[in-house]
Amino acid sequence: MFSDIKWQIRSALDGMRKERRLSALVFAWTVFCAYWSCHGQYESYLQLYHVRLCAADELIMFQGHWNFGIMLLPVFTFFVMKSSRESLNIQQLLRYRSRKKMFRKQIREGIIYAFIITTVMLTVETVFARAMTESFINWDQIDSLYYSMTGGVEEVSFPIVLGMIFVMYLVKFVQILIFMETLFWRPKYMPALWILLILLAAISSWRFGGYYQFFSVQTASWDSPVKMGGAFLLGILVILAEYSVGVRFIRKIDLYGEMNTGE
Amino acid sequence: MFLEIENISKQIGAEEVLKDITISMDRGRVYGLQGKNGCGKSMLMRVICGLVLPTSGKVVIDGEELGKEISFPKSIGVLIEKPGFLNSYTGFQNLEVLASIKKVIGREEIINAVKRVGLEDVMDKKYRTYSLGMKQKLGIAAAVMEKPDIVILDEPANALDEKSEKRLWEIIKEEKERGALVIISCHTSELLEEAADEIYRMDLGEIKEHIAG
Repeated sequence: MFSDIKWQIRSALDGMRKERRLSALVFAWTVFCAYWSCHGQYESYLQLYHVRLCAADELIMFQGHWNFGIMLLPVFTFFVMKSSRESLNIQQLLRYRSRKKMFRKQIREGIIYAFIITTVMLTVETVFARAMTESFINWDQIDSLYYSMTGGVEEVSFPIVLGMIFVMYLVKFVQILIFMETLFWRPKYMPALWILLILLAAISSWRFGGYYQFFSVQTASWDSPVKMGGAFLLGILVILAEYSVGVRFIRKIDLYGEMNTGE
Repeated sequence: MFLEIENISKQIGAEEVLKDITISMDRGRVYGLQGKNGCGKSMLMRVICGLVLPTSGKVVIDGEELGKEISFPKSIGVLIEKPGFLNSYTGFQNLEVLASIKKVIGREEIINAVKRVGLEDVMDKKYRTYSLGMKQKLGIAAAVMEKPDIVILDEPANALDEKSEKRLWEIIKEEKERGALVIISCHTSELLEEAADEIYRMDLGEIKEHIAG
């Protein structure tokens, strides 16, 4: 018999395979964004600020509202929306006999999508970031961006920085995808998802320190575990809040059919 | 009676899609819902499944009210829309996935269900290679494999050839003999007359005629 997780991974991969052309386009777009974001940046920083960027610096910059919030997140969200549109499955719902269990299954699938996308995106970004800089990490040197921003040096390994960035991306993706999975129960409200993405990007562009900056690894706050841990814990709290609102939202929703719009 | 539908009405926006429907159904019988597209058959089936909550009235299954005491029927098998099977899984694996949720049947019962619908030769082929008729048969197998108390089949003969249609009526007969309450919908009366003990003719969300066999 199939274990839940194995079946859900397979289901997510199946959804992506169904959208083969879109998957290829999204991958190409990710590659383009990674190249476009870090192209020429190393030389600019060296000439203007006399600092040498490393791959870790580039990855931190990738998290910003422009590269992630405007260029990548809406594309990934659309991709997952297309790939997982059958995540709310009547056959499974009637066997679970519980809307809550069905919703939890959808969320697990959302987390799997978030995991896959984060892995692919970060791999592409790491390849470009390393190719266009001199080292993976140079925060222990005084000509580093880290030193110029914090006034100190840090003996941290690249995988740790990469791991933290991965976790924060995952938190952001899961927050957005839970909202999307909730709206699958009432697709006529799906525009709310796009309004949310526009609002988050607009607030981040208008005022530095918005959503995308807050739920990110920042060079300046690397030596402050309280700030980093706080952002992570708040991210988890947002996810839990979304879950409980979602459970209440779906409790009395009618399921009319495939697109849930009427008979 | 095992299933009581009492004064069910459903309003969607300004439109009343089900109007004051009262039906009693018992186990070991086959009930047919007949009417043209959009007459409310599928909506009524969704109400019985607990997928749609009525605006007024109630559905009571084995003494328990749907939406109050229970959210969904305890034992139900349905073919009500595209079943959402995984393309990269074989037909058999897709049934295994569904069966793994309730865990009331094993490999043997799944194979038996596949044989009943006549898919044994292709059960190890990927779902994406299935024809429309084969997909429909797999949906029927999913509906009956766990031997549910209630079997709901919405337009089950769609995309089936003559031989498969005969096999479908055999399955419906077997389900009835097993003691299941079977509800089937069809837009033509000939097929229903062959299989159903009672037929409800629907139009514009209302029961217009009840023919008891």
